[in-house]
Amino acid sequence: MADYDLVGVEVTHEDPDPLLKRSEEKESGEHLHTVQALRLEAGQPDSELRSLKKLDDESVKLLEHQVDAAYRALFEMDGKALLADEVGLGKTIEVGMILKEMHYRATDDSVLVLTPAQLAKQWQGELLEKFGLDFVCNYDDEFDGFDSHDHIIASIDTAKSDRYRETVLERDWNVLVLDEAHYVKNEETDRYDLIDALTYDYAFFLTATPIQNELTDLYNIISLLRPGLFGSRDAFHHYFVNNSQETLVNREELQDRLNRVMIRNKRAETDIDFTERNIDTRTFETTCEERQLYEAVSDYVRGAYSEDQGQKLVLMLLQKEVVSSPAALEQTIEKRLHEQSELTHADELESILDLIENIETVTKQDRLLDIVEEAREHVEMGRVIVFTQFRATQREILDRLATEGYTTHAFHGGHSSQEKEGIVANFEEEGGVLVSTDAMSEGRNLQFCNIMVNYDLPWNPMKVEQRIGRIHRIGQKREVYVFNMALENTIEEYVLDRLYHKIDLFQQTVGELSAILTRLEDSSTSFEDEIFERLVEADSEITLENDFDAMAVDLQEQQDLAEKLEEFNNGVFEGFDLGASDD
Amino acid sequence: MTDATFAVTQSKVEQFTRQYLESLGCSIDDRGQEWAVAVPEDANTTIEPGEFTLVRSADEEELDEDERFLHPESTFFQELVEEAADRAPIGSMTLTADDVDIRIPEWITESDAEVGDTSFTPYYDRTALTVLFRVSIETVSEYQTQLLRAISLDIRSKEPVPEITNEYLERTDMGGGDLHERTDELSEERLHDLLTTASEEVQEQVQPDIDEIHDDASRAADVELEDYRRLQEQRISELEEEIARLGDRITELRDTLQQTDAEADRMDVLRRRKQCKEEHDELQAKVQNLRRQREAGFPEKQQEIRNRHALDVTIEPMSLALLDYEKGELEITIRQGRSERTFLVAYGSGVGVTEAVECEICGHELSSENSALLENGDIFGEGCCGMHG
Repeated sequence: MADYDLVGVEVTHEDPDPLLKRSEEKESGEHLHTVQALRLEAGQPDSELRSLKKLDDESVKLLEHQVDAAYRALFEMDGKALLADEVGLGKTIEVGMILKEMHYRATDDSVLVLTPAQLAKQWQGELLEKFGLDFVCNYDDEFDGFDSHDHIIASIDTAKSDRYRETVLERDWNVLVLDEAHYVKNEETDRYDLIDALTYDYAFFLTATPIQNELTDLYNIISLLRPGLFGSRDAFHHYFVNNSQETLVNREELQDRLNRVMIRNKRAETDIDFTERNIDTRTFETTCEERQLYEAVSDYVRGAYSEDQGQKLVLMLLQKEVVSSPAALEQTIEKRLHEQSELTHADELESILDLIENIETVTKQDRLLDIVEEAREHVEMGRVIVFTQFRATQREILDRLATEGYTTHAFHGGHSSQEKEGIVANFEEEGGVLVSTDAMSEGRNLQFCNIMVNYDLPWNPMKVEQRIGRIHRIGQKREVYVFNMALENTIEEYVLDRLYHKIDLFQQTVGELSAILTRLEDSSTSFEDEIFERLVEADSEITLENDFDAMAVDLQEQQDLAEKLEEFNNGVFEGFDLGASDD
Repeated sequence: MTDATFAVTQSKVEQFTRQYLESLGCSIDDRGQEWAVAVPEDANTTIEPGEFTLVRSADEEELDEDERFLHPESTFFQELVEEAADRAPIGSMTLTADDVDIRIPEWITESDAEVGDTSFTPYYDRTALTVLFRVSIETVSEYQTQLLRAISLDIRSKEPVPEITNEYLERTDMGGGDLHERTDELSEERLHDLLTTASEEVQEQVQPDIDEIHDDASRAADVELEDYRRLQEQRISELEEEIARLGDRITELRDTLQQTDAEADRMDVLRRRKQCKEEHDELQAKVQNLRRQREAGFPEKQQEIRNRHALDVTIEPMSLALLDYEKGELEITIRQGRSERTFLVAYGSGVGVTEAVECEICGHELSSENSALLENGDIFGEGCCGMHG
């Protein structure tokens, strides 16, 4: 019951007589038009994105072209659209907006989002953090198959696998989202078959490069969305593609038809403007004790992996921790010794613990002080964000900084969301150093800071970009400085020098990176696995260098290909106006 | 009672415009993004006869004189809808067995049983009145809320028949149009009476919407009253300060008076003291009045604010249709495995099965949640007696 007095209500039942007097002669069908007109009149406010005002400004900043794309896809294209913006303009945000609106209107009983395997978790995170939409991912422990959940994000290859294909096809999905839709360009593939056989009411396909090899790719993708829009394959070919297969002809008519199903925003026509990003990678010589520890751990990892590949994850962890901090390493080893009493090579682990004991100077910690001191002198309130992958490292850094008299803030996954908000607010207000694990959520608004330090480096390029994205985002008005810290002649230096710098990772946007990484999708191992395998399998330093160079060459090739494809697509759609209306 | 509004999309707008213009005798030449429309001289519409072009876009580019935009917010479309909405608000249709597909109840469609033959035997005709009501809820603190609600009443029993509403809305959806007009009419008196019942029924059913807005409006009034109270509190303390200041001034003047000898100066001080006293008393009276009002809870202001925030709800019938349907019995055969059963249930065309069917073991009603299982010719509920046998 309300704790306030209610205001009055006056209900008037209008006199029905004026309506009853209207029984004049009518032609058949007129009543139908009247009822339809009444229903249209009453429904008019419906053609707006009602959920817009429900979005949290702090979590997502929508750009005009994104809102416009969501609107057109939903209301002008009747919920079947190919979102083909140029790379980096936020197609995921457009789909998030669309799904949010459908959720608001309760037209999303069952939603299937199919993505490349590497991007599935990222989709899940973005939809939750930016739009409050909760999806189950096929990599989650709670995933029980495609017939057990109503909102699913899955890798397209999992969906088409023999294990799941039948259940995926059995359902009538309300909404299908297909990321990197050029996957279905070829009608003779299992992926195409799957999408062709799926039943759905609404579909949103995403790709920056709808054309991969030849112009008929476009026909295939669009025919899945709107069968018949281009007529038969031959007709499309004869009418819209010139003989050399390189350009589209009858462009005006083609634009008209594409306009009914495809949206392509161009970077030059949007107001996206990022400030400069400065990268400063610093490598440091290790102390003798640190070097001994690194060698011992690397030898142990290599030896243990050759005996039992089943413990890969924990070995990978040790290899990452040794370059992060002795404290992180110590914690994992002790836990391992404590939990597994019959552990082989326990003695080796014990001696690693002894080596950790010997370490008096932690080089990275000392050098971090140089960076934060510089910031304290030159930047407003000395604000710096330091990222590390490990809680133990985080604790060490915090202790050290506090001892040196810095204002510190800790951020990790163990805080409640209210606490997290408080931490960010304190950091903004008090300045100093925020030491965070990768639990810092995407949606958090940290544009008030423009300096970040990668104290250690994730072996997954997307994670690195996500860290940078916390401060280098729309709304950041100052230049951004990213410091990378690495120990010389360690795995970290290889990853940094040979891989990340080769593809100019630190200057890539998330969109550009996914374009590169998803091209590697066909190889079944993940980026992290590849790094680890190369590390443990190399029998000499030379082999290791060569292996990393080879990986870099692969990446470089994919990057070149991705760029070429984008250029090609831009060329094909040159002069086409398929973007948002600009006024 | 059902929400009758359409989600207005560009394609619905185009579909309606095409159908309506063609019904007026206009011709449309589809040229992709544009339609060339020709309106005949004798067309019964407010649209000028002659030719013009409809541009299917919302871009605010310049238009030529003979061009109009066609999108949900365009003036042309708004006017078109307004004209059509007023054209034939009274209609009728028949929902005989020939016009309507047989509706299989959910306790069968949700089960694994297969439906064999069905046959409907109508015994008598019934008529329902379906009305579209515009419900408008207005208050100062909220945008006006407008709802369009459809309701059907059986004209004899005056009981709501929601299935008929659904059928009507389905048939008047875009792409609908299969209306068979009926012939006999009801007297105006009878219609008036039915419309009154329907209007009351709508009010009852729309009450949760009204309550929600009512609650918000009351909260808004409360906030305004609270603001007013705070303002008056502030006013009271300002007055009190002012009164104290004047009191001090009066004391000061009294002291001055005692130390002043010259007659003229004394007169001047006395005048000033009198002025201060008058001002003091006036403010005292004001503050006392305010305090009295505060103790009583500012009744006048409260009334004024509450009146201003009061809700105006208007329920207006916009269209009505008489729908003839038939009632009788449906013979239906279902099969599951090797078991088969034929049975009769009360049924109405456009309404569906009108009688509850029970589990033959425990007597629980069959429903979409308790769907049918057929075994050895017995029908029982999967939910209630699913483990049977």
